[in-house]
Amino acid sequence: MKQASTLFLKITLIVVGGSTLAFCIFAIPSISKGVGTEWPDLAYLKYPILIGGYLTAIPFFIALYQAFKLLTYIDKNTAFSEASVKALKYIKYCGIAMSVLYLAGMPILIQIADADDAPGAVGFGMLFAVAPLVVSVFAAVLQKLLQNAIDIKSENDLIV
Amino acid sequence: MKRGSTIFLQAVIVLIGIVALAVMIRFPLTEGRAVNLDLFSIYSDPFIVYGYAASIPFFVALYQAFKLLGLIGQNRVFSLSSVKALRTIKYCAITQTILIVMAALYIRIFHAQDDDPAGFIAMCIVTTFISIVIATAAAVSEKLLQNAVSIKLENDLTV
Repeated sequence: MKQASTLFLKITLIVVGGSTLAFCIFAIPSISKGVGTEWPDLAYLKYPILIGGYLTAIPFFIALYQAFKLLTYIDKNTAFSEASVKALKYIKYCGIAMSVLYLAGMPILIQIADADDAPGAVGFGMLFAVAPLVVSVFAAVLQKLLQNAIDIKSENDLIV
Repeated sequence: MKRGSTIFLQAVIVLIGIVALAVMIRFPLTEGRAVNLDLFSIYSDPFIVYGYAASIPFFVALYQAFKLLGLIGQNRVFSLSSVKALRTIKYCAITQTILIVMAALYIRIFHAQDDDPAGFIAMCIVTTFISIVIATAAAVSEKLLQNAVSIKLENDLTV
């Protein structure tokens, strides 16, 4: 495997992770504060936004780390191993967890969209809820395929 | 392979294609210059025509991904045709990158004096980056799949 392409993908993961971290540090606290000052009757949403925001970040970072690990396995030519199947399994669970958390957070978003008279916000929320689900279905398919490839490979190793 | 999950992903791809097509058809009508123009002149603007031409690799790549999912569903993924699909996706992503960069450069150099194309350029940078990532990911998967296919071939020959 060419090292350069996996290195590039690893750097991409780090950039994505870094920008998400910056979003968590700078944006989420100010969103949570801003909702209280902008719409005083929605001030009780302050802490749900803060907690929900950080809670969804956890599976995201775990999935990112697992993807990083997967790229490391590809680098070391050990992609066809149980370890990478496990990494994909974690990514699948993380995607499901994120979808559930975003769906659970929809009532918060609907209230804000109501107050702001911006129905588009709900659409964006749904997009954010569905995207991790797509990722987890994709991870599930890849996991099955990889399991398949491993079975073929081990059969091969036994014969030779 | 569970058939349900690949069909779900195929449905997502079809949905993405339809949404992209709808946006592409709708968008020129909402521009400011479309107010005093008839339908033909709206769509015959060279840059809009370029936009439609540049979307071809995107749709080709979507179709190839759809095909790949079909092969996965039929348990025929470890075959040369799926390697070929991934290779086509890689080339499509590379072509798309070049086409987007060309559009960005054109707008950057020839935009009107009182116009600020910062938003357009920012979108171009983001989409260029996404295309490069997709090209790299497709290249890595192609290599891996090639690997698996040759293992399987060896296997089939031995038995």
